[in-house]
Amino acid sequence: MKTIDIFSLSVKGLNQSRFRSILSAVGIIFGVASVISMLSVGEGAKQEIIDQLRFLGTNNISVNSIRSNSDEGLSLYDSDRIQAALAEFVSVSPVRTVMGEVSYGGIDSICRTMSILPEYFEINGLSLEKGRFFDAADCRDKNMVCVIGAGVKRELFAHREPLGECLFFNGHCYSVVGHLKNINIPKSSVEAIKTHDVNRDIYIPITSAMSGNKDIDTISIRVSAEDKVMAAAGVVKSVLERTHGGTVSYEILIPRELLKQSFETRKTFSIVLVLISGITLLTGGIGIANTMLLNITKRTKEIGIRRALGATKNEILLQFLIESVLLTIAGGLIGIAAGYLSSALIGHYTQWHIIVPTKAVFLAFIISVGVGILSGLYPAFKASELDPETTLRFE
Amino acid sequence: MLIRTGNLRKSYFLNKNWIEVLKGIDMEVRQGSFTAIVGPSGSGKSTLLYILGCLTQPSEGTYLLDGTDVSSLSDRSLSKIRNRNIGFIFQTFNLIPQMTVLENTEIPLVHSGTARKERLEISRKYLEMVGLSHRLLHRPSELSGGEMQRAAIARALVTEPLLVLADEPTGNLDSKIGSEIIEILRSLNSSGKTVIIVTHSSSIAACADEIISLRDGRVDENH
Repeated sequence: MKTIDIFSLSVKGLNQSRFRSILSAVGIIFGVASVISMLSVGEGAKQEIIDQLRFLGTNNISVNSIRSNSDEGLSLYDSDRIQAALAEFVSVSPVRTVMGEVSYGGIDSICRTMSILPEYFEINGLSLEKGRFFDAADCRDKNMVCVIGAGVKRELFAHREPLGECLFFNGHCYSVVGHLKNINIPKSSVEAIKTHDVNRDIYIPITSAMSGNKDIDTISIRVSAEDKVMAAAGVVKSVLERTHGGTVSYEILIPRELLKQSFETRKTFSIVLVLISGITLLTGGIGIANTMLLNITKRTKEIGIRRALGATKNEILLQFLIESVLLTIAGGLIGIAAGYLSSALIGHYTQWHIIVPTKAVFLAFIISVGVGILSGLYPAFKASELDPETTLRFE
Repeated sequence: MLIRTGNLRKSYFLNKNWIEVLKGIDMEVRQGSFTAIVGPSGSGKSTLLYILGCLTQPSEGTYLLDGTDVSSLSDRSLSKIRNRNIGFIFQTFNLIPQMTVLENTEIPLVHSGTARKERLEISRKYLEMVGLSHRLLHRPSELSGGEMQRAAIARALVTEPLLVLADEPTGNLDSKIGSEIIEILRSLNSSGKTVIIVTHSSSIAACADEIISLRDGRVDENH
């Protein structure tokens, strides 16, 4: 028997019970659609995490000061000790943050002033739109210069050129030497890791702002090699423990770790979701098996006739197996379309980042074929084992 | 000899008991003969025909078909024999109701792997031979009993088998139509086919060259 004839028999067979076939494929349609939506949500989340990681810097460590009445928190000495302990493996910049009013040409705005070392720009991957960063010389000479974020420029200068202009804050006048490119902050990043709008920051040399006060808010660290981040964090921890004793006056944040945790949480979540889809698919498969068994009962006579006229057991087996696989493939294809649609709807209503991964589509297709084979195997085997004499004589 | 059986036995397991339906059949069928198997109901004649048609295996004994011992063959080989060498005609016609007459007639050719175009040609030829050219695209339910049986005969012939087996082919037909069917079978026989017919009509048996009479699972030599 020719393969194409077996196929055409299978198609005719399905056609005989068209409505029942469609109904039985519904389970597969929902199963496949949910697998695709789940994986799309997962893929979107993963991409978002990768974006955040890139935004925060994969190699960064950040130490934040926690001030209390009993402890003064971090100081410039801590920053220096970390730099000394880790030497060439890291770039370190202390950061002191002050929220305050900034004015220029009669416009006032509340901005965050970041007192930093020039290393900070490199550590955080900031890039200039125009002008220059301040450098070690500016720090040494305590020059009254500043670099402003794109948001500050927009607000205070609109379309004018800020370079060389003077911003007044902190009781002093700071001359703008550079302004930054706009930084796209990943949407969910703001709430997930408590970042604020860095485009509204103003950067000044830490030396120009320090007037005997050595307190700082943050130590920003970049580790040169990716695989040394955790080791470096350990050194930072022991250095700080030595100087601060037992008091908890700081916290060490490692974005890489934070994101790993959030990734793990999401992974667990998506495994649960995929399992649920798996159950839907299983139910779908059982539905197909049930329909196939019913079809075979209804077509016992036809099977007997075909056997009498020369069909082998294998041909009968193949005919019914192909019927069930065609059924699940059709269900799978509709399910894939439904999966795209539902992913788009989820994205639209939740504002989540959704990506339908190509591999999910392939996976769904393979699963459909697999479910078809698994659920069709028993009914098809049963059909092939029907005794031609019994089916023709006694039924 | 086209067919030779030796001590052919067949038992069925029914209601927790083995029931022996055939109790040692020795028979021979000449190539080109017209043989009638007769006997009262329950004498085992249909069972014998199903064994001769390779639709079931004997429990014991030998069955040589054209020199081949059929009882030792695989499903694949048996299917091939049914397909190429044997044409079946049933009392209840056994046409597939969802298919047209033409499609029904094609079935053996589909299983023999014949190309579509050739299948159509051959099927048309045989349907024309049995006088059904005007019914090609009708479904079995749209045909009369005689027409259904003629379609079944065409279907039995498309692979040009050596042997045509008919199980009470006129049992569901009135006598006039029945004799037309017998006439077709006789003309097949005169064109060289070996025909074996199971019947309990003595008038049909009278047309046969050979009569094998069964009684209680044995050949009744006294008949």
